[in-house]
Order: sequence, then structure tokens, then C-alpha cells
Amino acid sequence: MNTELAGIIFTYALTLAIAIPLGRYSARVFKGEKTWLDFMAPFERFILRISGIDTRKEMNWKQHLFALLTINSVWLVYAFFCLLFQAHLPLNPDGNPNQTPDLAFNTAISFLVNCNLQDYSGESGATYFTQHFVFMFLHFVSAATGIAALVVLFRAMKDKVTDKLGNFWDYFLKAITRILLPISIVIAIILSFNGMPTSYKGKDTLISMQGDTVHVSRGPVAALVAIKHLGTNGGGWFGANSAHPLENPNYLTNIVEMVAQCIIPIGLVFALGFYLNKKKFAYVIFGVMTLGMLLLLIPTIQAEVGGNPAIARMGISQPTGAMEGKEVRFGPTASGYWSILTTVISTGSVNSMHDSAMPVSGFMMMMGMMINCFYGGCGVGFLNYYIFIIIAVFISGLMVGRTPEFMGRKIEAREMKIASLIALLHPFIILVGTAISSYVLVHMPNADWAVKPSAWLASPGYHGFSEMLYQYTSSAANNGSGFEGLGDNNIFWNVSAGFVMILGRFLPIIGPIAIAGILANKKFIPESAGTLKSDTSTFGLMTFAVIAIIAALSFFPALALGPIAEHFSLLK
Amino acid sequence: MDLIQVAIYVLAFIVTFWLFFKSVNYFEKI
Repeated sequence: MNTELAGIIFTYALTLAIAIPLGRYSARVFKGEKTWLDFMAPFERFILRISGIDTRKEMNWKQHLFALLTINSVWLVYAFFCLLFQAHLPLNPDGNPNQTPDLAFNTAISFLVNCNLQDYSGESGATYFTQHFVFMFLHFVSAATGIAALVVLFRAMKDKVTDKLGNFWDYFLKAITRILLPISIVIAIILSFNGMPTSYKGKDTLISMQGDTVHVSRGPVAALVAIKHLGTNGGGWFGANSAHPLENPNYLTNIVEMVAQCIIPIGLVFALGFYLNKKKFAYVIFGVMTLGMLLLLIPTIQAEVGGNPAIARMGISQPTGAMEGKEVRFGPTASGYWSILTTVISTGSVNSMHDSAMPVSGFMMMMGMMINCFYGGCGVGFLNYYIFIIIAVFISGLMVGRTPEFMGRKIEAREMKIASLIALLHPFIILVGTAISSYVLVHMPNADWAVKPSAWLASPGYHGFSEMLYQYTSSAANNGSGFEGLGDNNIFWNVSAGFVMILGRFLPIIGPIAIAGILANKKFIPESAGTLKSDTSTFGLMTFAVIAIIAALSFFPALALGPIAEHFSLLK
Repeated sequence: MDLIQVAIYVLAFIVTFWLFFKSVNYFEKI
């Protein structure tokens, strides 16, 4: 137990030890200052020249968003058609078939939006070509899209009065060449030297200890797993994701994958402080995010280490905690830590089966995705947090009877309308989706789909409801993890979750960038004695309260029907 | 392959992104 706790404390400490210098480095990259990776500049200039892009042309916030949306729409169509025809494309040694149109629709959106919800199993549902040139490609560009969007926000917060917010392509390209690519290479090398496959040969054949012939899938797994975590993507090479022994062979790879998925989201919070030269502001945000993460993590570890009360009542001892769905080599503490970090950070990879976790843990995992801004995904985590800052500033202004101001600009009706729409969008798409799926389950149980509604749920009752709620929560938060008890590869789930994922990705990028761009154009008001300080612990607590009220309470009734009811039913 | 389904999904992509582009203009004037 103590060793397991020491393991996760070491992992978090290592994460911070890397994230803080990475934040300083990222700020230097995007400010255009000298860094040790400046030797990439000729390569970047070559890419820009063949693309016909002049990064000296500065863009306003609308031009940034148009560029972001345009390139993402192209990638979506490309990914969709590659998946539809993957059996006819090269690099398919295992002879895997094409994806069906509804599955390709879901998968293409899922990887485009950095969600990586997988309604297929990687061993049989994708080829080496699509794993490389669709999934791994989208791992890089979707993470870089989020980072580039965040840098636009940084720039809008920095300059006093301007509509020139740098160049989207410059930010996007540097996010790949200066951050994602170099770190991914280092991680992939560590993973491949620890037993993760790096091979283009098809399935291997071996004889098991009981004499069966087993065909084992492999491929260049280490390269994909590196960017899968670094870019907070989460889509695994294998169906079991990082619970698979070839996708996470030992405790060292577990630490490496865990650290890899946290360093950019946490590093970007510190990058904000270095970029704006407001380190105290960044520390306050980091403090709020860390407090939120710990409030989700501690009950989870307590529940997992304590074991399942239903099993305890049967007189069975659980000295290692609740081990159903967990890997013995990781144990309940490292599994609980991974489950919470992967849901607050929006990676969505798993090293244990979330469906088997204790109801308290399921509750905490869902809360992490429902709040979706305690660190959050690459770039987009802080964009979500920014919405709550705007609302907190507005409410604080009303409380003290002053015009709300943030970073020297007045928050007025237009910004508040956008912030409110974005804050309400997240619960809206999750709860409406869950309501529709519950209706279909009850009223159309025998619909003629690949998986009939009557066969969707592995567990009846409260837990079954949690499986559906989790699926839409994971989709809307662009997380991608799943309560894998849900039979989701049919037209209903593929299409409905596809729409939830795409709405949950782009509108929460458009909203904060629009607010920041509009604010950047406003007259700058110098700080005075009456200005609300945004870098104090009081303001941090105010933001935390806003997050708790808006994000958490919106979901409480739905959570009461799922994990909360299940928890109390276990105690009977 | 069900080409009608494929066409519907491509149309859904176009409409969704058209709405995103419209939302950028909408947020400017809201």
C-alpha cells in the first residue's frame, strides 16, 4: 500500500519536474525567442514554402478560427474515406476489413477531435496504414490544433489593444516540430526498449503453456503510444488500450505513459504565466486545477484500495483492494491514479477497465470529464477554464458593484452570452444524448441494428444507466475512455456519439477565442485600486465555486440515477 | 457499401462545419 502510494507520488512529482520547464520552454517557442530546437527552422520554412503560407501575415481571431476549421474539415473527409477503404490500401498484413460507414463516421470524428473513442478494436478494426496515416497523423495535428488555439488566447490576453494575434499556421507548425515531435521520439524510444512492439510484420504465432496456438497482434505500437499520450489523445493500438501487456508492459512504462499524458496540459498552465509574465496568475490556476484533481483522486483511491463491499460480505478477503478489471502489475492505486488523471486530462487511455471500478470511482471519473477543465486536454483544457474565469469575473463584479474587468478589458453582455452558451453546451449535449439513448433502450429494444438496444448494456439497472451516461460524457469531453460494458458499435451510438464529439470539440474552441478576440479589441483600462485582482487565492476560490456550481450541479440529478444510486445499493 | 449512407455522412460533415463557420460570425455580432 505504502509502496503503491509512493509510486503515484513519485509519478506526479516527476510530472511537475518536467512540466514546469516545458511550460517555460513552450512560452519561449511561441514568443519567438531562441530555443535549443531552432535547428528545426529550415525544415519549418520548407514546409511553409511548399504549402504557400506566409507566417508574417498576422491574423485576427476570426481568421484564426477560419483557418482552424478549414484544415480540420479537410482532415475529417480524408480520415473518413481512408477508413472506408482501408482494406484496399497498403500495409494491411492481417487482412483487416473496411470499416462500415457509420463506424468510419464515428472513428474519423473521434480522432479528429482528439477524443479517440473507439467503437472498434485496434487489432481487427484498423490496418497499419490507418493506424499510421490516419490515427497517428490525427494524434499530432489534433493536439497541435488545441495548442495553437490556446496560443491565440495567450496572445489576445497579452497585447494591450490589437486585433493582430499572430499566425495560426506558425503556432500550429511549431507545436508539432518544437514540442510534440521531439518529445514523442524520446518517449517512443523508452517504450520500445521496454518490450513494446516496434514491427511491421503481421500477427505473431506462439504456443501457450496449455498448448493452444495463439495469434498475437503487433505492429509499430511504441511510436503510436508515445503521441497517443503526449497529445492527450488516448486511442490505443490494441482494444484493451494501456491495460494490454504489449501496450504497457511494466510499471516503468506505466510511469512514462502517465507522465507523458500530463506534461503538456500542466506545462501549458505554467506557459501562460511565462508568456504573459504573470506567474502568480498561473500558480493560482494551477492550484485550483490541482485542488479539483485531488478532490476526485483521493476518494477514488480510497474506494479502490478498500475493496468491494459486496465481495467482503461474502467473506472473501481483499488484501490488494478491488482487483476486478485491474492489472496485477499495476494494482488499485496506480490504476485509480491513471483513471482520474486520464479523465481530468481528456486523454481517455486506460490501464484498467473503468466499467469494473467501484461506483465512487466511476462517479469521480465522470465528474472529471463533466468539469473538463482540471488541466484538461492539450490546449483546450485552459480554453474551458477561461470560460469559467469570465463567468467568475462577471459574478465577482456584480458582488462588489463594479464593472467586471479582466486583464484590463471590460466584460460586457456579448462576452457573457458567449460564455454562458459554451458553459451550458456541455451539460446539454451529454444529458440530451443520455435521455434519448434511455428512451431508445426502453421503447425500441429490438431495433434491427448490429447491436440491438436490448443487448447494449452489460449490466442492468443503475450501472447500465452509468454506462450510457459515461459514453456521452466521454464523447462531449473529447476524452474517449469508455465503460466498456456498452455495446456501442451500431448506427445509433456511432452517429449520436459522433455528433456529440464534434459539437463538444469545436464550439468550446470557437467560444473562448471569440471572447478573447473581442476583449483584445477593447480599450485597455490600466489597473487601479478598484480592479479585481485575478491572481489571488480569493479569485481562485471564486472560480472553483463557479466551476462547482455550473459544471458539477448541472449533472448531479443524472449522477444520482447512476453511480450514486449504485454506491448506496452496494452498502445495503 | 451503402453509398446512400456515405453520402448522408458527407452531407452531415458539410452542414456541421458550415454551422461552425456561421457560429464564428454569430459570436461576433451576438
